[in-house]
Amino acid sequence: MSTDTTLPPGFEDLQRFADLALPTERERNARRLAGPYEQLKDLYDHVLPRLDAIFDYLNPMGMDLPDNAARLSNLALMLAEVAPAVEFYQQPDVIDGFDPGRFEIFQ
Amino acid sequence: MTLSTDAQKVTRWDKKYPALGTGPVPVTPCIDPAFFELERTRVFGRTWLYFGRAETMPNAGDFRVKKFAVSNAEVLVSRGNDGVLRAFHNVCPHRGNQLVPGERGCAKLFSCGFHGWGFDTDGSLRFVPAQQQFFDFDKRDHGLKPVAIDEWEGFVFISFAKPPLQNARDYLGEMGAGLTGYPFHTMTQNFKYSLTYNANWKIALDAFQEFYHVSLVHSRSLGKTVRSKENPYSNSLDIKVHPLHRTFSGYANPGFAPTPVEMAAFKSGISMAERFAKGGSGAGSRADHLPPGVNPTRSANWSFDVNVVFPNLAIDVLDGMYFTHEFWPLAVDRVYHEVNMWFPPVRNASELFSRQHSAVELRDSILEDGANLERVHAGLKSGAITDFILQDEEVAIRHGHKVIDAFVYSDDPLSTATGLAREAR
Repeated sequence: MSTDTTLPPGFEDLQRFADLALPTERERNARRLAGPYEQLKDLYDHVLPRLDAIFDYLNPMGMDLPDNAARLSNLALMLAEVAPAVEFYQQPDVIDGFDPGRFEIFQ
Repeated sequence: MTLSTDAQKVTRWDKKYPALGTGPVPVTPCIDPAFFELERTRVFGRTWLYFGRAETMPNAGDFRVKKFAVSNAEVLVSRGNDGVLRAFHNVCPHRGNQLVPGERGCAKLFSCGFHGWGFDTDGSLRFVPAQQQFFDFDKRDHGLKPVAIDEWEGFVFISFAKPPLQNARDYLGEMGAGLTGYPFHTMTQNFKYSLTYNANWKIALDAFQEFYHVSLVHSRSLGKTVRSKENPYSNSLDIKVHPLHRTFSGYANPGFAPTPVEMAAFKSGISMAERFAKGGSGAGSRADHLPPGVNPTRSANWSFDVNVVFPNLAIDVLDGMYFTHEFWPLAVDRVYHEVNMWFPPVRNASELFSRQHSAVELRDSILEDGANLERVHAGLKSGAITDFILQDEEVAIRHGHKVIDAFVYSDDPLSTATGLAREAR
């Protein structure tokens, strides 16, 4: 298994978030729940302003992405994962929610 | 234009459906083990039960196995070489072993892991080791045990009734007719989730068949998409009781202010929050391409419709995506809740982002819903209350409980349910 976590050229500013660019929703959710919140908020604050640039880069490639582009896409998906934590709850998990450990994500 | 006129109007569903009454609804059916035993046979043993989407088994040999714990059964649905979907008990007729151990796949032959009996994808017995040592044996007599199967708009249903009361189209009835033509079959991208609650299955279902809870339970999240100052309790645009099923049509907040990531998702593709809330973009703009049963009032302030298929399936339809809730009883105090979101296939990274964001928001809102269910069951078990006190907007719950009663206690539940659904003239 490759340990390369390089993002495509032009996205060096987001490189420090690359280890949060996990490939499955289950892993991204587990990572969000693990926190800390400050790290999720940091990702939110820095990836959101770059979203247009991310999709300008990725969309012409369709769905067949090389490894570093797939990593960038996964970083955008991690923004989707942490968005409610930042925008709704201001903490990693749902406030007064059902135990996420008993919630199964199939993808 | 006054955007929320239709939602402000106090529609009295009790006047529309007088046979449903306004009285309290007993809680006993949610906690009584004897009632649950009756539900196994009188409800789940007599109705059509949702199996899955036909597109998930497109090719000859494709199969899926699904557990129906409430009926102590496992059903194997397989697409034969003739393209026909068939359903069988997942049981080898030789000694009763579970035939297919997995959940899905593609097979040319189903081979039992006990003694190697082999079955064709159409259920016929093809191969028996040491066949000459059996007595008066004809392979044609020993195929897989069939289960009734039918399909409506790509929704595959099975039934343990022998024979089922009606075909699936008639079973879905007026509600199904109103949804026919919605492009379910084009929405093949799936996000799947499940939870198991220590609660009766009806407690779980009922939490997903009213909007009354939205303003409080979802106050931090999606609630703002479907309520406004004019409609603070997310009253429904319309509620339609079909004899067995029910549809309620959700209000959209025309003044909804999306969060930054919601706004990014709007720009990127189909976004649930946007679809929930964008109704204010113009009267009729959401209606013309949808079948008459979707957004039935043709309201510009429409978010989505909840279509509850008796007994335990909800098909929640938006413009451009839909999701299903299934509530499968495991015991009187235990239910398996499966959620599937369905979107058109994704074409690029930004569409994937918007769909994933929708899925995360729905997932989190379900966690918000789920928190109360076990508390409710514990509360009912305490015996502190004997009845649910339901308001007018909770009429779907009232209807659901009465239809279950009809199945449990009546030998002609369809007639009883038809009487319950009769509209006042």
